[in-house]
Amino acid sequence: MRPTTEADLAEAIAAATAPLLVRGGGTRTIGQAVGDVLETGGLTGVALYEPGALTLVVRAGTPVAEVERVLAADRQRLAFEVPDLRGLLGREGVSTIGGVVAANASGPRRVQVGAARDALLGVRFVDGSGTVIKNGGRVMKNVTGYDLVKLLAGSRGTLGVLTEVSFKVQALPEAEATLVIGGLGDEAGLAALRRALGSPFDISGAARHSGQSLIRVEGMAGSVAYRLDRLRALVGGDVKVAEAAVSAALWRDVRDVALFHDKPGEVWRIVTLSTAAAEIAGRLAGEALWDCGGGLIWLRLDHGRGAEVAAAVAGRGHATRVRGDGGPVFPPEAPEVALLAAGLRAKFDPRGILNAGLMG
Amino acid sequence: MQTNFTPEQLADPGIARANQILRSCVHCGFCTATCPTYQVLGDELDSPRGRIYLIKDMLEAGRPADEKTVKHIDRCLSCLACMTTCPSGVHYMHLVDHARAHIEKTYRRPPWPGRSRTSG
Amino acid sequence: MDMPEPDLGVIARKARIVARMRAALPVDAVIDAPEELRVYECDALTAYRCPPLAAVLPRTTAEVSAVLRIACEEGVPVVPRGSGTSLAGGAMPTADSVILGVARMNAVLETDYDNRFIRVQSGRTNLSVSGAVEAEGFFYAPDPSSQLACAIAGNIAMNSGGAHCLKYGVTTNNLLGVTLVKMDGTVLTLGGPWGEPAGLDLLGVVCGSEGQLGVVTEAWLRILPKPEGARPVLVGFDSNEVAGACVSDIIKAGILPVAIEFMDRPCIRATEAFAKAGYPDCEALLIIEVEGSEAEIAEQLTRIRQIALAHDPVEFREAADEDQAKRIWLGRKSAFGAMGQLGDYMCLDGTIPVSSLPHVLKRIGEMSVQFGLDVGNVFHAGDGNMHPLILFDANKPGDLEKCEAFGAEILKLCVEVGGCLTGEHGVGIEKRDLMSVQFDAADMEAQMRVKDVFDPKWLLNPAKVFPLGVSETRRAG
Repeated sequence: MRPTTEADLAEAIAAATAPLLVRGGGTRTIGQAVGDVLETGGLTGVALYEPGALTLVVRAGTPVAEVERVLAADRQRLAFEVPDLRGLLGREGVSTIGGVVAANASGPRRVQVGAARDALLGVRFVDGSGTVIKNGGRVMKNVTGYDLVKLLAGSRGTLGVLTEVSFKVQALPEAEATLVIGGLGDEAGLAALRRALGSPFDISGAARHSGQSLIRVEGMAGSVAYRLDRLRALVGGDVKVAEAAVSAALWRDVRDVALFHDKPGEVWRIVTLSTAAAEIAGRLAGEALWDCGGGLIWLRLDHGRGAEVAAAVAGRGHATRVRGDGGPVFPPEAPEVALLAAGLRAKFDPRGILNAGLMG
Repeated sequence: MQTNFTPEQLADPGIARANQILRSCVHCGFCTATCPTYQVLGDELDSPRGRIYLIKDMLEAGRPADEKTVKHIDRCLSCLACMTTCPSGVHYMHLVDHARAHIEKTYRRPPWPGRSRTSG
Repeated sequence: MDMPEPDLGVIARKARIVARMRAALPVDAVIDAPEELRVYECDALTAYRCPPLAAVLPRTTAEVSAVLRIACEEGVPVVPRGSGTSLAGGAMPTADSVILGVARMNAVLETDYDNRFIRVQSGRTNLSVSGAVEAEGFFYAPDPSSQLACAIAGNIAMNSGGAHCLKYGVTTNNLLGVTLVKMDGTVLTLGGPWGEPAGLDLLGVVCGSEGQLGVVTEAWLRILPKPEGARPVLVGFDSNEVAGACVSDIIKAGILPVAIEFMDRPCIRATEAFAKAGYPDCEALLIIEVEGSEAEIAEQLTRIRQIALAHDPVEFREAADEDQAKRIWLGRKSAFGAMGQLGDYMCLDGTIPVSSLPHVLKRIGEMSVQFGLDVGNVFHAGDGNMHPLILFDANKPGDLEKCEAFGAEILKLCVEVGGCLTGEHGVGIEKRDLMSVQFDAADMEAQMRVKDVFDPKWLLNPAKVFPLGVSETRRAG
């Protein structure tokens, strides 16, 4: 099914008699869900764009590329840097903006501006009984009623199917540049990222892979030059500067986890504390890409090491298996938390037909 | 803040002044942050806003001071940190002085146990 | 303000309920004398008042859990309270409820500069969180105007914002995790110092739920390195439209000031009379603050000056030093106090799209004449969060009702132009009955389902957020 209006989508859900596999373009779906495919890719178009208010309202099935094109025409962008995971996950297809929200996706700029949820101002969605619901709105500050906007972000279609999303967008910076630091081990290389993040120099990317630590700054040209200078003195090591397009390419690769494209094995996305990141990766002895100053580890391992990963991360964050077969995909939740999550799913999708069992 | 004094009460210049001060308090609570007794005790009754409430109650009712009200007003150190913090310019000093005078007039303090021991 | 009939059964059992709480808590933690409960009858919204059945002041998560378990068993509603600075009546009790104040829970539990977070007990005040990390060069970003006094617990309940959220976001963007006690006494952890949730973002829905889903006793908060410096400029205009256009142009140009504050003429005049900050007597005034090193500040201000001058301002004033910067902020920071000198006021909090600013200000001016009540506007212009302050006389019969009606019309207008009822204060009691202006039945039903899951007996912070008619069957159940 691929409805083209919100009303049709609502009707399709209300009329469904069997589980539905809900997806946008299916380019970043993880986990197992079964059912009749319900795609949102037919719900397209920009409903409202006000560059002077940094506001964009767009229907959920709109391709991400289209959203980015519209924003770029006014020198703006989605601040949270949408990753393209097709290369990592071996998918084809067109990534939709609703899918981005449903996965609460984020790129390297999460360290500065947060994830999709942090830019999301409002949602419209259809719940499991076919009712259309709106929450939030199009203005930047809104605490009217409960924040279902955050609840829907990252709910992966299990509470409702998104039909429209509103964002706070960001102006494109005048300049960007990256410090590329070599000659440091992982522990010291991550410590350099932490020093940068603890400085007043407004870092918009802090990653490490292949023996290099990367620190990005963006903004007005004079400010970027000034901060690069100060950071260079702060972090030490063997430092080079990448500017403009070269810098952008470095971060595109981090964002899309290009390091692991065309390489075999499981890929884990581990959210943790920067100070634990080198030790966790070292203990599991896989190939690592650290993002967000070390607070995020992309780890490539041989298949079947889920239990070891869980043990290494325990008490210091959580790990999601984004690629590879066998074993649970999402980390287990504490029983009292799982109870609340199950309670919410039962309320929003009483028949249990929306991506049933996907998240546990 | 709304007050409930009768015209007869307001004929008393002391009450009229207190009324004026109480009316200027918007109950924002900023004073709690700089009050040393509230910092230690954590009960709003031991903060300027709480004491203002107790004073308002006592004066509006025109009743004698009671033990609990006296306890919380006695705990005020009169440091007046609240007055520099208050964004509305509430003259707490005048109000608490007025309340203390009212307490002296209407409240009989129990004998001080410490004193009776040393003198006995 | 309509409130539900108190449960007389609960009131009749007061002695037993208080005795059970006394047995579970330290001796000084339970207050039940009527004269000592009066202070807890309202928060910073004094128009609506009702003394509670009792008040408890626990010191630990375990004590909070004990109180809630007893209250749940006894069927007693509980009203959580931080510092009582809500402007929406978020902490207003009902006659059959127990106030649960977290003011005594104000400890710093952990600071971690490497991973950039702090863990505090939720009664700690907003400003003292920054105070705890200041020496190391860090700060906690959300800065509601009441930050000196307001508690983190209340900030989380209302998802508080502040003047600087244009750059740093609001509470939900700076909250990493919480320890939450459910109404049945269950203690659970949502999120953690690493930030991102593993499953559903339950933390995201708890933040801003106005204390109706659980009582937050501890919180992990993100801390940020302090910028090297900050400087405000003041720009005066002879029309609201032009000031609004200037704000829009600055944002469009890709400059991200940390704050853009707006004051209109009535507010400027009241502030000048009270604080004497030396503001120009003009129709609209912007205070724009930028951050960074000296060179970065200069770079941004050059750009802002170019944009502002193109709009022909009546005044453009840069702060040459710290003292002048303070004077620029002085008037803005005294605005509420200054308006308070003129009479009682009700502070509204609707948000509108920035483009609607001139239209909304014009309509508010017209309504002010129509209702016969003065109004001053001071607000966060960068994000469209307005704070109209309606002046009235609380001692004059009928004035409050007139003020309420005026306020309701302003908020309806905010929704009509694409905005919302409340940007950072919360719905509380104040805007409860206007919820149906912004949401239809299905929208509110969806929100209430969340409450059903967290607090099935609907005992936490009763009679707030949802119109009484809408929540009636649930509250009765």
